[in-house]
Amino acid sequence: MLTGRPIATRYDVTVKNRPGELARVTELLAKAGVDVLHLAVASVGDVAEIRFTTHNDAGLVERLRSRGLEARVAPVG
Amino acid sequence: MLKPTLTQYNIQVPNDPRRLAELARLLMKEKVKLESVVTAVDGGQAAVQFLTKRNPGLREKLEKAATSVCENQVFQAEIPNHHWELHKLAKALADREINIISLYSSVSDGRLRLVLAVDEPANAVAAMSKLGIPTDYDVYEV
Repeated sequence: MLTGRPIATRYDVTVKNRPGELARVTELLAKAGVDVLHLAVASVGDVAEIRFTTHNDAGLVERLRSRGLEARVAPVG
Repeated sequence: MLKPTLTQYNIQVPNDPRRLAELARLLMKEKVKLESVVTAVDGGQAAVQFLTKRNPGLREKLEKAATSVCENQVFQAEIPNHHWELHKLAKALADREINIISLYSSVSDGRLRLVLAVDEPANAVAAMSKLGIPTDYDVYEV
């Protein structure tokens, strides 16, 4: 039965385009026990976008923001 | 030595729908088959980064439609799709001050397949090899 609930959540995290920024995010994901379904990174100028989707993300956006990371969230599916 | 099958074109254009449409038309005209695409926006500039087969004449044509064009060597790696494995890899690159230009991924059979473009590919491959992560410069088409 279809419930209309999203099957996953997509996160867009904007970081500085420098070494170590992906590790900041993956450390947080690892500690929160979040597995990614898809991950992509793209960069332009001084900025990089880290995008990932997951389906086990309770409280994740708050954790990202509490670390000073600019995160946007969108349901998928 | 194996030659990479795919390369990454890293194109920066003004973040304007007409300029992005021009770029899309050029890719269509040149029959560029995209294997994967990522994008990023910073104010008035957009980056369109994609994987495709090497095409010696394409760069010159892209340069006429873009603010800047770079071609980046890419390599692929597979790791178990587990959050700590991903972090181990990201940390190993961070510890060597390696910057990730772009990253593409797919998940299959519990494995996370990554295609990476970085500022120091040889250093990155060495870091991953030290972690026991096999890498391959021959990036296969999907």
